[in-house]
Amino acid sequence: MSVHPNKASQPHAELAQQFNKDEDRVNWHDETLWWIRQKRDKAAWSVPEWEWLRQTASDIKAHVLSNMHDLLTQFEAQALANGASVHWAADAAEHNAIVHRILQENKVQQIVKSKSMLTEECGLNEYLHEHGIDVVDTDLGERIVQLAGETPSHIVLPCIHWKKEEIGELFHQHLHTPKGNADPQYLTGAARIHLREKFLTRNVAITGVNFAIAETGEVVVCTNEGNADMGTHLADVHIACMGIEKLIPQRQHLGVFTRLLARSATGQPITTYTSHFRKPAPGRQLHIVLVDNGRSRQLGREAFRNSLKCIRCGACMNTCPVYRRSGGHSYKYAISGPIGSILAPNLDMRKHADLPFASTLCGSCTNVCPVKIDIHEQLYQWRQELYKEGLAPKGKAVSMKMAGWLLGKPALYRLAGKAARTVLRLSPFVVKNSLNPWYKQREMPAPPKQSFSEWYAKNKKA
Amino acid sequence: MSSRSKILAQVKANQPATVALPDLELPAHAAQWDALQKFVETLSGIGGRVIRILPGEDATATILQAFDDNSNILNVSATVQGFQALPDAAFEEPAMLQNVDIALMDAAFGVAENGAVWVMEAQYKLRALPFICQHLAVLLPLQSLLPNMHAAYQQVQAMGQYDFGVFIAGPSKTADIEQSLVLGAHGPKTMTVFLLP
Ligand code: SF4
Repeated sequence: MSVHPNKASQPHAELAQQFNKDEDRVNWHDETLWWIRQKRDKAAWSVPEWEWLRQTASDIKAHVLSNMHDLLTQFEAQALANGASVHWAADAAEHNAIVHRILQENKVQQIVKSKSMLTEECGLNEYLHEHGIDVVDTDLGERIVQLAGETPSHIVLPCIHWKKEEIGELFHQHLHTPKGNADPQYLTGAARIHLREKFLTRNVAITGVNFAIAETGEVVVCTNEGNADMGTHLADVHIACMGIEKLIPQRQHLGVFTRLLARSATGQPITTYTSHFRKPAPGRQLHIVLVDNGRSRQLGREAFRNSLKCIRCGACMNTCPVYRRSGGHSYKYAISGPIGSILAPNLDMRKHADLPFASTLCGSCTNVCPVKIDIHEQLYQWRQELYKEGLAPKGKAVSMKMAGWLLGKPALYRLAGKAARTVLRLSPFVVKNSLNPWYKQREMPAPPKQSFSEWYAKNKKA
Repeated sequence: MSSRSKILAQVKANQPATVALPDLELPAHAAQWDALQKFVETLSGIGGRVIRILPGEDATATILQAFDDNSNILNVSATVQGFQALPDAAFEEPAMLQNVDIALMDAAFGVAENGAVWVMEAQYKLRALPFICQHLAVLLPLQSLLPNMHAAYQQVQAMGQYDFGVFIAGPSKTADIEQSLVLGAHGPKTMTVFLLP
């Protein structure tokens, strides 16, 4: 099951087939993510002004993209005035080198890091490892995949593909918990003790950034576990790494984004901690690394520009029928699922040419996205680009194949059907959009109350 | 050319024509709640505990009652007296606070829609404290409850600048192991909000 996303060379479809060899497991993966999607729905429906929030968030981000130059310089000036150091990295390599230099300047070889998809995107862990730096990921899910020699398979739920028995075994090997103990409460307690020791002794903490405020020069980090805060406040040096698109103009805009983020991600009303770092604590350092790595190029691609609005909530993955049944590692990129399939080809069109085809274009992602990114339309656009460049996977109607892959096999039909029925019941327009090739072919049938296989199973027993 | 100039130049060349910022005024159909009821309901729902201190009640006694007799309580609140004070040495070595059972501090205000409270370093003095303690206890004036995050950030703005500030909503938690919710990830295992009259 261990696939290093940067190393696998097979196309998405092949890795997805591998993931599907264990039917029980893929069903479990599918159902777990769908359950999170349902929690998101419940949270969204509890806020009557939800659609206003999405539109406002999308509009704020549209302003940010149109005014990014000035917002970046404003942010930098404010952050410097606050006593932070600001670094600019054109690409992943420069980002990694900057972080390494800060560690060398502080003569530090052991660090803690909380969740940051940017550092995953840049391959920071591997780079630092090669330079003799010991990095401990402190988000529980990230620590689990790190101990296993993997990378996260989901941007919010890094070890969503791991079963508790496997985590019990992993902890038995690495943290010496009793063999056979797979109780989540117990294992979390063991990780707490293991990681507290790291927090208490390590002097540099790296974090990601959820929002950076141009007006005040502060960075905002959201976690549930408290690991970003435990890391940074107990260290002398805090390095906050962020993509340049993480900017928002003013602090009051956080009112919109903090209402959307956790509800979209996990169905929580807010993350446990929403921490606002404006000034370093007395005698301590705050470094902010601003990373481009293809973002300014994406800004110039009109069809794909809006992908930079992403706040990394993961909702598009949880709802995606292809993601749920193929697993995050099959995308071979730090950001998997529908949004990753737009972002990855921007960085390397040839390497990631298969990703825009890893979709049925059902539009469910677009429908849940809290910043209203037209995700499935951009995937469709990418296909056109890739055809033009001659990079599209061979064979006609690849997207048809994806729909067929999901709906055609009797073994897979059961759950996909269950999900499709729910989607149809809740929001039929999601499936009936003009880009859904399956829909183009024929009218979507009325969803049966019971799927054939469920009916069959029941009646066989009777 | 430095990376800074390179990035800024490319951003400038590629950014689209200016789009105005949207109005932040909430629509008429926005949710409205009884702030107290919603706050208590939401915070309890995410694993927090709310205890009301009634007018005339002895706050110190209520706080003591809420915790195990043997716990040590470190108090940085300006509202109640007594308990242990923050040792000066902790500023140099915050790790020494790892054995604090309960940290007691003032929150500036609470948010009904999500059960969060806003605390600022200037109020509680040492940045690491609400995270490193085993249990967090917060004193919150009842009349400080605000309906939602929009009102919350207006209040944050009105209160003046901070070095570090944080919204805290319940105990630290994780569901990374098969989506089973476990309270007490890396930060406090419980959070108690004492609502002051
Ligand atoms: S694209 Fe939208 S739904 Fe997907 S992670 Fe980003 S913000 Fe969330």
